[in-house]
Amino acid sequence: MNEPFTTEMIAEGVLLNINPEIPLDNVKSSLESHLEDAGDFYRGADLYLNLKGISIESDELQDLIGFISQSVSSETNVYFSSHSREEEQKGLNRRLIKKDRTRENEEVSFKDDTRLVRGTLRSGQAVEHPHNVVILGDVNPGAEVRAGGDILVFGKLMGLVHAGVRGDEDAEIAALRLTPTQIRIASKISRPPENETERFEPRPERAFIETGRIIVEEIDF
Amino acid sequence: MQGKSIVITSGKGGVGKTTTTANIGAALALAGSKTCLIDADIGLRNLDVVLGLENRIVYDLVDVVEDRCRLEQALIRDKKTDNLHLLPAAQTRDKEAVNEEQINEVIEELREEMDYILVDSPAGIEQGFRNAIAGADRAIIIATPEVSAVRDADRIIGLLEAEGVNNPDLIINRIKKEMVDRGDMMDIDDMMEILAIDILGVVPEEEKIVVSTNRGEPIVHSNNSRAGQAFRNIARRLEGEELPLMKLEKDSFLSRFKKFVGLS
Repeated sequence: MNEPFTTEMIAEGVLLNINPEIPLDNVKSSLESHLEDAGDFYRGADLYLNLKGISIESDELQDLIGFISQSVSSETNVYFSSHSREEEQKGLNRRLIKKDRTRENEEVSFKDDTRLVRGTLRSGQAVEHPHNVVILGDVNPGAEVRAGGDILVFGKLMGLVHAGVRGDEDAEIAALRLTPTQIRIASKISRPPENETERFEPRPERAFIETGRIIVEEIDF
Repeated sequence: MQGKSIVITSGKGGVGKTTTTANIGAALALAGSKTCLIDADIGLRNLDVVLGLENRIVYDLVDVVEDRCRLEQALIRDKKTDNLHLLPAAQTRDKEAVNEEQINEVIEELREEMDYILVDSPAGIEQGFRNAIAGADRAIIIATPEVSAVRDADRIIGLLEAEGVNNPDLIINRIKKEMVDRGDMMDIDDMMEILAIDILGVVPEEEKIVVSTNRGEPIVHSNNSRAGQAFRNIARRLEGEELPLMKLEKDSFLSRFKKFVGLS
Protein backbone atom coordinates (compact mmCIF):
# COMPACT_ATOMS: atom_id res chain seq x y z
CA MET A 1 0.00 0.00 0.00
CA ASN A 2 1.27 3.37 -0.95
CA GLU A 3 -1.35 5.50 0.64
CA PRO A 4 -0.16 7.66 3.52
CA PHE A 5 -2.95 6.26 5.68
CA THR A 6 -6.08 4.15 5.60
CA THR A 7 -9.24 4.30 7.69
CA GLU A 8 -11.30 1.48 9.06
CA MET A 9 -14.57 1.34 10.91
CA ILE A 10 -14.25 -0.46 14.20
CA ALA A 11 -16.77 -0.85 17.00
CA GLU A 12 -15.11 1.86 19.05
CA GLY A 13 -14.93 4.38 16.25
CA VAL A 14 -12.64 4.97 13.33
CA LEU A 15 -9.21 3.42 13.15
CA LEU A 16 -6.63 5.51 11.37
CA ASN A 17 -3.75 3.35 10.15
CA ILE A 18 -0.69 5.39 9.33
CA ASN A 19 1.65 3.95 6.77
CA PRO A 20 5.14 3.63 8.27
CA GLU A 21 6.72 3.79 4.84
CA ILE A 22 5.55 7.29 4.07
CA PRO A 23 7.34 10.30 5.51
CA LEU A 24 5.37 11.86 8.30
CA ASP A 25 5.08 15.22 6.59
CA ASN A 26 3.36 13.63 3.63
CA VAL A 27 1.04 11.79 5.96
CA LYS A 28 0.19 15.03 7.68
CA SER A 29 -0.58 16.92 4.54
CA SER A 30 -2.85 14.24 3.10
CA LEU A 31 -4.48 13.79 6.49
CA GLU A 32 -5.16 17.49 6.52
CA SER A 33 -7.02 17.45 3.23
CA HIS A 34 -8.84 14.27 4.24
CA LEU A 35 -10.13 15.69 7.50
CA GLU A 36 -11.16 18.85 5.72
CA ASP A 37 -13.10 16.87 3.11
CA ALA A 38 -14.67 14.67 5.74
CA GLY A 39 -16.44 17.62 7.34
CA ASP A 40 -18.45 16.29 10.22
CA PHE A 41 -18.03 12.70 9.12
CA TYR A 42 -16.25 11.88 12.35
CA ARG A 43 -18.84 13.55 14.52
CA GLY A 44 -19.96 11.20 17.26
CA ALA A 45 -17.19 8.71 16.51
CA ASP A 46 -13.86 8.44 18.23
CA LEU A 47 -10.60 8.35 16.36
CA TYR A 48 -8.01 5.65 17.02
CA LEU A 49 -4.55 6.39 15.79
CA ASN A 50 -2.64 3.30 14.77
CA LEU A 51 1.08 4.04 14.83
CA LYS A 52 2.23 0.45 14.60
CA GLY A 53 5.66 0.24 12.99
CA ILE A 54 6.29 3.93 13.10
CA SER A 55 9.19 5.48 14.88
CA ILE A 56 8.36 8.97 15.82
CA GLU A 57 9.89 11.70 17.93
CA SER A 58 7.83 12.89 20.84
CA ASP A 59 7.71 16.40 19.39
CA GLU A 60 6.46 15.11 16.12
CA LEU A 61 3.92 12.98 17.90
CA GLN A 62 2.62 15.89 19.91
CA ASP A 63 2.44 17.93 16.78
CA LEU A 64 0.45 15.22 15.01
CA ILE A 65 -1.98 14.77 17.88
CA GLY A 66 -2.48 18.48 18.25
CA PHE A 67 -3.12 18.81 14.57
CA ILE A 68 -5.66 15.97 14.47
CA SER A 69 -7.49 17.14 17.58
CA GLN A 70 -7.85 20.54 16.01
CA SER A 71 -9.20 19.17 12.76
CA VAL A 72 -11.96 17.03 14.26
CA SER A 73 -14.86 18.27 16.34
CA SER A 74 -14.47 18.65 20.07
CA GLU A 75 -16.72 15.67 20.82
CA THR A 76 -14.35 13.33 19.07
CA ASN A 77 -11.73 11.77 21.31
CA VAL A 78 -8.39 10.80 19.86
CA TYR A 79 -6.76 7.60 21.15
CA PHE A 80 -3.64 5.63 20.47
CA SER A 81 -3.91 2.13 19.30
CA SER A 82 -1.38 -0.37 18.09
CA HIS A 83 -3.48 -2.84 16.23
CA SER A 84 -1.60 -5.04 13.93
CA ARG A 85 -4.09 -5.76 11.22
CA GLU A 86 -3.86 -9.52 11.34
CA GLU A 87 -4.13 -10.52 14.98
CA GLU A 88 -5.40 -7.91 17.34
CA GLN A 89 -7.77 -6.65 14.71
CA LYS A 90 -9.51 -9.98 14.88
CA GLY A 91 -10.14 -9.55 18.57
CA LEU A 92 -11.54 -6.16 17.88
CA ASN A 93 -13.78 -7.51 15.18
CA ARG A 94 -15.02 -10.16 17.51
CA ARG A 95 -15.99 -7.51 19.97
CA LEU A 96 -17.62 -5.58 17.20
CA ILE A 97 -19.78 -8.53 16.25
CA LYS A 98 -20.78 -9.09 19.84
CA LYS A 99 -21.70 -5.47 20.27
CA ASP A 100 -23.83 -5.48 17.17
CA ARG A 101 -25.93 -8.41 18.28
CA THR A 102 -27.07 -6.46 21.26
CA ARG A 103 -28.17 -3.54 19.19
CA GLU A 104 -30.24 -5.10 16.53
CA ASN A 105 -32.14 -2.84 14.19
CA GLU A 106 -30.17 0.12 15.38
CA GLU A 107 -28.17 2.61 13.53
CA VAL A 108 -24.56 1.55 13.40
CA SER A 109 -23.36 3.68 10.54
CA PHE A 110 -21.42 6.77 11.44
CA LYS A 111 -22.06 8.48 8.21
CA ASP A 112 -25.38 10.20 8.39
CA ASP A 113 -26.42 9.87 4.78
CA THR A 114 -26.97 6.12 4.92
CA ARG A 115 -28.63 4.19 7.66
CA LEU A 116 -27.63 0.60 8.14
CA VAL A 117 -30.14 -1.67 9.80
CA ARG A 118 -28.94 -5.04 10.95
CA GLY A 119 -31.54 -7.74 11.29
CA THR A 120 -34.85 -8.63 9.78
CA LEU A 121 -37.72 -6.17 9.86
CA ARG A 122 -40.87 -7.95 10.93
CA SER A 123 -44.50 -7.10 10.37
CA GLY A 124 -45.39 -3.78 11.95
CA GLN A 125 -41.80 -2.58 12.20
CA ALA A 126 -40.95 0.52 10.25
CA VAL A 127 -37.71 2.24 9.37
CA GLU A 128 -37.60 5.80 8.15
CA HIS A 129 -34.55 7.75 7.15
CA PRO A 130 -34.04 10.98 5.23
CA HIS A 131 -31.31 9.44 3.07
CA ASN A 132 -30.39 5.93 1.95
CA VAL A 133 -31.28 2.80 3.91
CA VAL A 134 -29.47 -0.53 3.86
CA ILE A 135 -31.13 -3.52 5.50
CA LEU A 136 -28.90 -6.45 6.36
CA GLY A 137 -31.73 -8.93 6.61
CA ASP A 138 -35.20 -9.49 5.27
CA VAL A 139 -38.10 -7.09 5.06
CA ASN A 140 -41.12 -9.22 5.93
CA PRO A 141 -44.69 -8.62 4.72
CA GLY A 142 -46.24 -5.90 6.87
CA ALA A 143 -42.90 -4.18 7.51
CA GLU A 144 -42.23 -0.79 5.97
CA VAL A 145 -39.12 1.06 4.90
CA ARG A 146 -39.21 4.69 3.82
CA ALA A 147 -36.12 6.46 2.61
CA GLY A 148 -35.41 9.81 1.07
CA GLY A 149 -32.86 8.10 -1.14
CA ASP A 150 -32.17 4.54 -2.21
CA ILE A 151 -33.09 1.34 -0.43
CA LEU A 152 -30.92 -1.73 -0.53
CA VAL A 153 -32.16 -4.93 1.07
CA PHE A 154 -29.47 -7.51 1.53
CA GLY A 155 -32.04 -10.22 1.97
CA LYS A 156 -35.58 -10.94 0.83
CA LEU A 157 -37.77 -7.93 0.27
CA MET A 158 -41.36 -9.01 0.93
CA GLY A 159 -42.85 -5.95 2.60
CA LEU A 160 -43.46 -2.39 1.52
CA VAL A 161 -40.61 -0.06 0.64
CA HIS A 162 -40.76 3.52 -0.50
CA ALA A 163 -37.60 5.05 -1.95
CA GLY A 164 -37.33 8.72 -2.76
CA VAL A 165 -40.17 9.64 -0.41
CA ARG A 166 -39.58 13.33 -0.95
CA GLY A 167 -40.05 12.94 -4.68
CA ASP A 168 -36.63 11.87 -5.91
CA GLU A 169 -37.39 9.93 -9.09
CA ASP A 170 -33.77 8.80 -9.40
CA ALA A 171 -34.05 6.75 -6.23
CA GLU A 172 -33.65 3.00 -6.63
CA ILE A 173 -34.61 -0.14 -4.76
CA ALA A 174 -32.49 -3.26 -4.86
CA ALA A 175 -32.85 -6.59 -3.09
CA LEU A 176 -31.40 -10.06 -3.25
CA ARG A 177 -34.91 -11.26 -3.81
CA LEU A 178 -37.54 -8.78 -4.82
CA THR A 179 -41.00 -10.12 -4.01
CA PRO A 180 -42.49 -7.10 -2.28
CA THR A 181 -46.03 -6.45 -1.24
CA GLN A 182 -45.64 -3.11 -2.92
CA ILE A 183 -42.83 -0.82 -3.99
CA ARG A 184 -42.97 2.92 -4.29
CA ILE A 185 -40.46 5.29 -5.80
CA ALA A 186 -41.19 8.99 -5.43
CA SER A 187 -44.92 9.23 -6.26
CA LYS A 188 -45.10 6.01 -8.30
CA ILE A 189 -46.60 2.84 -6.87
CA SER A 190 -46.15 -0.65 -8.21
CA ARG A 191 -47.01 -4.13 -7.06
CA PRO A 192 -45.89 -7.48 -8.39
CA PRO A 193 -48.10 -9.21 -10.95
CA GLU A 194 -50.70 -11.45 -9.41
CA ASN A 195 -50.50 -15.24 -9.50
CA GLU A 196 -46.86 -15.20 -10.30
CA THR A 197 -45.38 -18.51 -9.28
CA GLU A 198 -43.00 -18.44 -6.35
CA ARG A 199 -39.35 -18.33 -7.16
CA PHE A 200 -37.15 -20.04 -4.67
CA GLU A 201 -33.68 -19.21 -5.80
CA PRO A 202 -32.51 -15.77 -4.86
CA ARG A 203 -32.38 -13.47 -7.83
CA PRO A 204 -31.07 -9.99 -7.18
CA GLU A 205 -33.24 -7.37 -8.79
CA ARG A 206 -33.47 -3.63 -8.79
CA ALA A 207 -36.35 -1.26 -9.33
CA PHE A 208 -36.16 2.25 -10.72
CA ILE A 209 -38.24 4.77 -12.60
CA GLU A 210 -37.90 4.95 -16.35
CA THR A 211 -40.18 7.03 -18.55
CA GLY A 212 -42.53 7.57 -15.65
CA ARG A 213 -42.97 3.91 -14.72
CA ILE A 214 -41.39 1.63 -12.17
CA ILE A 215 -39.24 -0.91 -13.96
CA VAL A 216 -37.91 -4.04 -12.26
CA GLU A 217 -34.96 -5.81 -13.77
CA GLU A 218 -32.51 -8.47 -12.80
CA ILE A 219 -29.12 -7.26 -11.70
CA ASP A 220 -26.44 -8.43 -14.10
CA PHE A 221 -23.06 -9.36 -12.75
CA MET B 1 -79.06 5.90 1.58
CA GLN B 2 -78.46 4.99 5.22
CA GLY B 3 -76.25 1.94 5.46
CA LYS B 4 -76.27 -0.39 8.44
CA SER B 5 -73.15 -0.79 10.48
CA ILE B 6 -72.38 -4.14 12.07
CA VAL B 7 -69.46 -4.98 14.31
CA ILE B 8 -68.08 -8.51 14.28
CA THR B 9 -66.44 -9.34 17.57
CA SER B 10 -65.68 -12.20 19.95
CA GLY B 11 -63.46 -11.28 22.85
CA LYS B 12 -61.37 -14.36 22.31
CA GLY B 13 -58.80 -14.43 19.57
CA GLY B 14 -58.53 -17.01 16.83
CA VAL B 15 -62.20 -17.89 16.62
CA GLY B 16 -62.60 -16.60 13.08
CA LYS B 17 -63.69 -12.95 13.25
CA THR B 18 -61.66 -11.90 10.26
CA THR B 19 -62.58 -14.88 8.11
CA THR B 20 -66.22 -14.36 9.01
CA THR B 21 -66.08 -10.65 8.22
CA ALA B 22 -64.50 -11.30 4.84
CA ASN B 23 -66.99 -14.00 3.94
CA ILE B 24 -70.16 -12.27 5.10
CA GLY B 25 -68.96 -9.12 3.35
CA ALA B 26 -68.27 -10.96 0.13
CA ALA B 27 -71.61 -12.78 0.34
CA LEU B 28 -73.53 -9.52 0.88
CA ALA B 29 -71.68 -7.92 -2.01
CA LEU B 30 -72.30 -10.92 -4.26
CA ALA B 31 -75.99 -10.58 -3.49
CA GLY B 32 -75.83 -6.98 -4.70
CA SER B 33 -75.40 -4.87 -1.57
CA LYS B 34 -72.74 -2.21 -1.50
CA THR B 35 -70.57 -3.33 1.38
CA CYS B 36 -67.57 -1.83 3.10
CA LEU B 37 -65.35 -3.76 5.48
CA ILE B 38 -63.37 -1.86 8.09
CA ASP B 39 -60.37 -3.51 9.66
CA ALA B 40 -60.25 -2.13 13.20
CA ASP B 41 -57.33 -4.34 14.20
CA ILE B 42 -54.68 -1.64 13.94
CA GLY B 43 -51.21 -3.07 14.31
CA LEU B 44 -52.30 -6.64 13.61
CA ARG B 45 -54.25 -6.24 10.44
CA ASN B 46 -55.33 -9.38 8.59
CA LEU B 47 -58.49 -8.59 6.69
CA ASP B 48 -56.49 -7.31 3.72
CA VAL B 49 -54.53 -10.56 3.61
CA VAL B 50 -57.62 -12.75 3.83
CA LEU B 51 -59.12 -10.81 0.91
CA GLY B 52 -55.86 -10.90 -1.03
CA LEU B 53 -55.69 -7.11 -1.14
CA GLU B 54 -52.58 -6.49 0.93
CA ASN B 55 -50.51 -5.25 -1.98
CA ARG B 56 -53.09 -2.65 -3.00
CA ILE B 57 -53.00 -0.70 0.23
CA VAL B 58 -51.87 2.87 -0.24
CA TYR B 59 -53.73 4.67 2.53
CA ASP B 60 -55.32 3.20 5.61
CA LEU B 61 -57.77 3.98 8.39
CA VAL B 62 -55.19 5.93 10.39
CA ASP B 63 -54.35 8.05 7.33
CA VAL B 64 -58.05 8.84 7.01
CA VAL B 65 -58.54 9.91 10.62
CA GLU B 66 -55.29 11.87 10.58
CA ASP B 67 -56.43 13.67 7.41
CA ARG B 68 -53.61 12.50 5.20
CA CYS B 69 -56.14 11.39 2.59
CA ARG B 70 -59.82 11.44 1.82
CA LEU B 71 -61.92 8.45 2.83
CA GLU B 72 -62.54 7.29 -0.74
CA GLN B 73 -58.81 7.32 -1.46
CA ALA B 74 -58.26 4.74 1.26
CA LEU B 75 -61.07 2.42 0.11
CA ILE B 76 -59.84 -0.60 -1.83
CA ARG B 77 -62.20 -2.23 -4.27
CA ASP B 78 -62.22 -6.01 -3.99
CA LYS B 79 -60.69 -7.84 -6.92
CA LYS B 80 -63.52 -10.35 -7.19
CA THR B 81 -66.63 -8.42 -6.24
CA ASP B 82 -67.25 -4.85 -7.40
CA ASN B 83 -69.63 -4.06 -4.55
CA LEU B 84 -67.10 -4.93 -1.88
CA HIS B 85 -64.71 -2.36 -0.44
CA LEU B 86 -62.07 -2.53 2.24
CA LEU B 87 -60.85 0.19 4.55
CA PRO B 88 -57.60 -1.36 5.77
CA ALA B 89 -55.94 -0.86 9.15
CA ALA B 90 -52.44 0.53 9.59
CA GLN B 91 -49.88 -2.07 10.50
CA THR B 92 -47.14 0.10 11.91
CA ARG B 93 -49.34 1.90 14.43
CA ASP B 94 -51.33 0.73 17.43
CA LYS B 95 -54.89 0.78 18.71
CA GLU B 96 -54.44 4.16 20.39
CA ALA B 97 -53.85 5.79 16.99
CA VAL B 98 -57.61 6.26 16.62
CA ASN B 99 -60.48 6.86 19.00
CA GLU B 100 -64.18 6.06 19.10
CA GLU B 101 -65.30 9.45 17.81
CA GLN B 102 -63.06 9.24 14.76
CA ILE B 103 -64.32 5.76 13.89
CA ASN B 104 -67.85 6.97 14.36
CA GLU B 105 -67.25 9.81 11.90
CA VAL B 106 -65.80 7.43 9.33
CA ILE B 107 -68.81 5.13 9.67
CA GLU B 108 -71.22 8.05 9.37
CA GLU B 109 -69.53 9.08 6.15
CA LEU B 110 -69.63 5.52 4.80
CA ARG B 111 -73.32 5.18 5.55
CA GLU B 112 -74.06 7.67 2.78
CA GLU B 113 -72.51 5.40 0.18
CA MET B 114 -72.85 1.86 1.46
CA ASP B 115 -75.64 -0.57 2.30
CA TYR B 116 -73.54 -2.39 4.88
CA ILE B 117 -70.50 -1.45 6.91
CA LEU B 118 -68.90 -4.43 8.64
CA VAL B 119 -66.28 -3.71 11.27
CA ASP B 120 -63.78 -6.44 12.04
CA SER B 121 -62.93 -6.08 15.71
CA PRO B 122 -59.61 -7.03 17.25
CA ALA B 123 -59.53 -9.62 20.03
CA GLY B 124 -59.67 -8.30 23.55
CA ILE B 125 -61.76 -5.70 25.35
CA GLU B 126 -59.37 -2.74 25.27
CA GLN B 127 -59.23 0.39 23.11
CA GLY B 128 -59.33 -1.62 19.88
CA PHE B 129 -62.59 -3.22 20.90
CA ARG B 130 -64.07 0.09 22.00
CA ASN B 131 -63.09 1.59 18.64
CA ALA B 132 -64.65 -1.29 16.76
CA ILE B 133 -68.02 -1.05 18.47
CA ALA B 134 -68.22 2.74 18.15
CA GLY B 135 -70.95 3.55 15.70
CA ALA B 136 -72.26 0.00 15.40
CA ASP B 137 -76.01 -0.47 14.94
CA ARG B 138 -75.78 -4.12 15.72
CA ALA B 139 -73.22 -6.72 16.67
CA ILE B 140 -72.39 -10.22 15.59
CA ILE B 141 -70.61 -12.37 18.15
CA ILE B 142 -68.41 -15.18 16.95
CA ALA B 143 -67.82 -18.13 19.23
CA THR B 144 -66.36 -21.55 18.69
CA PRO B 145 -67.82 -24.48 20.63
CA GLU B 146 -65.32 -24.17 23.44
CA VAL B 147 -65.94 -23.18 27.03
CA SER B 148 -63.35 -20.41 26.90
CA ALA B 149 -64.77 -18.88 23.71
CA VAL B 150 -68.28 -18.98 25.14
CA ARG B 151 -67.10 -17.39 28.37
CA ASP B 152 -65.47 -14.55 26.45
CA ALA B 153 -68.51 -14.16 24.21
CA ASP B 154 -70.67 -13.81 27.30
CA ARG B 155 -68.42 -11.09 28.65
CA ILE B 156 -68.57 -9.28 25.29
CA ILE B 157 -72.35 -9.40 25.22
CA GLY B 158 -72.39 -7.71 28.62
CA LEU B 159 -69.95 -5.03 27.49
CA LEU B 160 -71.94 -4.39 24.33
CA GLU B 161 -75.13 -3.94 26.30
CA ALA B 162 -73.37 -1.48 28.58
CA GLU B 163 -72.38 0.49 25.48
CA GLY B 164 -75.94 0.46 24.20
CA VAL B 165 -75.44 -2.10 21.45
CA ASN B 166 -78.33 -4.40 22.21
CA ASN B 167 -79.54 -7.74 20.88
CA PRO B 168 -76.35 -9.08 19.35
CA ASP B 169 -76.50 -12.14 17.12
CA LEU B 170 -74.41 -15.25 17.49
CA ILE B 171 -72.45 -17.16 14.91
CA ILE B 172 -71.12 -20.52 16.02
CA ASN B 173 -67.96 -21.16 14.10
CA ARG B 174 -65.89 -24.26 13.45
CA ILE B 175 -68.36 -26.79 14.72
CA LYS B 176 -67.49 -30.44 14.12
CA LYS B 177 -70.39 -32.80 13.77
CA GLU B 178 -68.44 -35.91 14.77
CA MET B 179 -67.16 -34.34 17.96
CA VAL B 180 -70.56 -33.00 18.93
CA ASP B 181 -72.07 -36.44 18.32
CA ARG B 182 -69.46 -38.05 20.53
CA GLY B 183 -70.21 -35.51 23.21
CA ASP B 184 -66.67 -34.13 22.96
CA MET B 185 -67.71 -30.70 21.80
CA MET B 186 -70.31 -28.24 23.03
CA ASP B 187 -73.36 -28.37 20.86
CA ILE B 188 -75.56 -25.50 19.78
CA ASP B 189 -77.96 -25.94 22.68
CA ASP B 190 -75.17 -25.93 25.27
CA MET B 191 -73.96 -22.63 23.90
CA MET B 192 -77.39 -21.06 23.58
CA GLU B 193 -78.17 -22.00 27.15
CA ILE B 194 -75.39 -19.77 28.40
CA LEU B 195 -75.48 -16.98 25.86
CA ALA B 196 -79.23 -16.81 25.22
CA ILE B 197 -79.05 -14.56 22.16
CA ASP B 198 -80.41 -14.97 18.64
CA ILE B 199 -78.46 -17.31 16.44
CA LEU B 200 -77.50 -16.05 13.01
CA GLY B 201 -75.70 -19.10 11.74
CA VAL B 202 -73.59 -22.16 12.34
CA VAL B 203 -70.45 -22.63 10.28
CA PRO B 204 -68.90 -26.08 10.07
CA GLU B 205 -65.18 -26.62 10.44
CA GLU B 206 -63.63 -27.10 7.04
CA GLU B 207 -60.08 -27.52 5.83
CA LYS B 208 -60.87 -25.56 2.69
CA ILE B 209 -61.24 -22.43 4.79
CA VAL B 210 -57.53 -22.48 5.56
CA VAL B 211 -56.74 -22.80 1.87
CA SER B 212 -59.10 -19.99 0.97
CA THR B 213 -57.78 -17.55 3.57
CA ASN B 214 -54.20 -18.34 2.60
CA ARG B 215 -55.04 -17.69 -1.03
CA GLY B 216 -56.90 -14.51 -0.27
CA GLU B 217 -60.16 -15.73 -1.79
CA PRO B 218 -63.17 -15.92 0.53
CA ILE B 219 -64.80 -19.35 0.64
CA VAL B 220 -68.19 -17.94 -0.38
CA HIS B 221 -66.86 -17.89 -3.94
CA SER B 222 -66.62 -21.65 -3.81
CA ASN B 223 -69.80 -23.54 -4.63
CA ASN B 224 -68.89 -26.89 -3.14
CA SER B 225 -68.14 -25.73 0.36
CA ARG B 226 -70.51 -26.20 3.28
CA ALA B 227 -68.85 -23.36 5.14
CA GLY B 228 -69.27 -21.12 2.11
CA GLN B 229 -72.94 -22.04 1.99
CA ALA B 230 -73.26 -21.26 5.70
CA PHE B 231 -71.78 -17.79 5.15
CA ARG B 232 -74.09 -17.13 2.22
CA ASN B 233 -77.04 -18.14 4.38
CA ILE B 234 -75.88 -15.79 7.12
CA ALA B 235 -75.80 -12.93 4.60
CA ARG B 236 -79.34 -13.75 3.53
CA ARG B 237 -80.51 -13.79 7.15
CA LEU B 238 -78.89 -10.39 7.64
CA GLU B 239 -80.96 -9.15 4.72
CA GLY B 240 -84.02 -10.26 6.65
CA GLU B 241 -84.75 -13.58 5.04
CA GLU B 242 -86.07 -16.39 7.25
CA LEU B 243 -83.87 -19.40 6.64
CA PRO B 244 -83.61 -22.56 8.71
CA LEU B 245 -80.18 -23.48 10.06
CA MET B 246 -78.22 -25.75 7.81
CA LYS B 247 -78.16 -29.36 8.93
CA LEU B 248 -74.78 -30.42 10.17
CA GLU B 249 -73.32 -33.36 8.41
CA LYS B 250 -70.19 -35.33 8.57
CA ASP B 251 -67.69 -34.49 5.93
CA SER B 252 -66.98 -38.13 5.23
CA PHE B 253 -66.27 -39.81 1.98
CA LEU B 254 -69.70 -41.45 2.14
CA SER B 255 -71.52 -38.17 2.56
CA ARG B 256 -69.52 -36.58 -0.24
CA PHE B 257 -70.30 -39.57 -2.40
CA LYS B 258 -74.00 -39.41 -1.55
CA LYS B 259 -74.02 -35.74 -2.38
CA PHE B 260 -72.23 -36.41 -5.59
CA VAL B 261 -74.76 -38.98 -6.74
CA GLY B 262 -77.60 -36.84 -5.47
CA LEU B 263 -78.75 -38.96 -2.53
CA SER B 264 -78.54 -36.20 0.04
